[in-house]
Amino acid sequence: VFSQCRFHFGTIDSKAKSGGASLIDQLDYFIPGWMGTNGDTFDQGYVCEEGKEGAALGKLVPVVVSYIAAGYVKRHHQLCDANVSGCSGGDLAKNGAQYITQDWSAILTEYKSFAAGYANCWGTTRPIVFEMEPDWYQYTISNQTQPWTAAQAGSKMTELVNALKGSLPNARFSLDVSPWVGSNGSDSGKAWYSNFDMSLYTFVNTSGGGTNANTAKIRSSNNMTWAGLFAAAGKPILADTGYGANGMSAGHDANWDVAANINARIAEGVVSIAQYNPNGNWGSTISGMRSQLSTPKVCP
Amino acid sequence: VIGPYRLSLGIGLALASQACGKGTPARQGTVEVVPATIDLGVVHQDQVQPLVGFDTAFLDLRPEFGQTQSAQVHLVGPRAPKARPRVTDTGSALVTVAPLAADTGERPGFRVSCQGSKPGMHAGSLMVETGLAEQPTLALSWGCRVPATLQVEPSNPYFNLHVSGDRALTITVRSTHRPWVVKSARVTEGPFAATVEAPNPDGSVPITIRVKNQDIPDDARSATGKLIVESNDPREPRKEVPLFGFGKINKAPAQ
Repeated sequence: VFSQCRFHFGTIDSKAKSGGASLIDQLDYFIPGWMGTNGDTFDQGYVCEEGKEGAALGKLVPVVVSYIAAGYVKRHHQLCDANVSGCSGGDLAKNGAQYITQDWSAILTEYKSFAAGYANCWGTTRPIVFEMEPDWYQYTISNQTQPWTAAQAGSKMTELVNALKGSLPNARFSLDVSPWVGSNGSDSGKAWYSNFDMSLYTFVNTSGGGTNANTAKIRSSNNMTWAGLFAAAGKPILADTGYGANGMSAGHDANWDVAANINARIAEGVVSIAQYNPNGNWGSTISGMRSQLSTPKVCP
Repeated sequence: VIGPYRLSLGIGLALASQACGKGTPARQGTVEVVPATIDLGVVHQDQVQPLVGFDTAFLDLRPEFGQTQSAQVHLVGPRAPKARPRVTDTGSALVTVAPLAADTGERPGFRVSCQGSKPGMHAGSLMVETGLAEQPTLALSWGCRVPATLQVEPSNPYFNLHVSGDRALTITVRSTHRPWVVKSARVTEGPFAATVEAPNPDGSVPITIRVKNQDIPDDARSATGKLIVESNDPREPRKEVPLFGFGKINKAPAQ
């Protein structure tokens, strides 16, 4: 998927462009705005523009976070994200499953609209990665007004992937990681992922919150480990430093600048890190440690 | 949020809610009063009761290979008796739908069946026109899991065409069927070649797939293909494996 078999670094598109060539040369992918958060039809032509050959990010792979299902019900039913309060419709962690079920036909239509939009402007031969629906697990928890079963969550995700694949044979998919699945992640997602057709996915990815570069656990408060996740999902891991609450920047995570930390995570299946708000000198930091980094276990 | 309202001490607040929104009958909800530093924010949350919907949110069908499993679904809600439901799409050829006879006195509905003819985790949605102006369409998700005995790892082999030199990878095929033998591995589409290797001690069989550089045009940016693995596995005697390569082809010798 990526141009070289090496540990991959990525950041959001605006940060990559403002970092200039010295940063972009060290990156293998960029992350645009979350897909489906603004409207019901394709609005990401800018990704194709900034990523086309010869453009600033033309040598990088776009890794697009798809939030269409969540975004649709947030917009149409005045819901907040799970960690945010004050919306008249409630929040995704309580009302999300019910509304997504109710609006499923419209959500599939929106997925197909975005697939067609990307097929039209990005094409069907260059790679593009979709990180699917952050915290899909939340729709199964008992706090939901109409919680899904895990099997239902897996089947619905298959439908979403198929809706994109229909127009985008060049797309590769990544399944979201909630490090608190099951008994606070103690089985590293083994039971949860058994409900998904894992042949559809090339990666698994963390999202929406910081992750630990320097511990075997993905997050200190959860029991899921990097190695356990790699074993349970059988897929290489795209890690991220995450946003803070309400989408505010969580800042640069310097633990992901330490070669020893990264090598330890590479040994446990991590193949990339996305810094959402990197320091100005991140490009030279990567350049300086590149030769110390191991080759990832797998290079899909 | 329908506030905040500024109240004097000892003064109450009465709220009346009114139905609004297409497909939404009278709404019941709770009122939560959120004290702030000075003002009171008032939040009204409710639970939507649709005018018409299915009596289940998901059909989880798990037929054995070669068998068919069925389940009944019915329309519910205050407008369900008036509905004239018609299925416009089942989401897969594996799934068939038959309307439930109206003279049984049951609510309108369908018998949904999945035929276990193809191992795997299949999923889709029934798309139904209701005949009701207020809620013209409904979708019902289904899953149909048919257990497999044959496994291919990795299931989606990928080749990086950017890198120089020969490109090859090995997939591993295994089956729980005994005795099990791979009869052949043939590339039926795309610039690839396959070789069946000697079985591993655990009985699994490696198959090496190579990219045929000379068959890829210099200006190509991707390559797709199809591998067919034939074995005596009773459920999937002919397993199809998609092959995919990305990147502008680099035909230089290995560095």
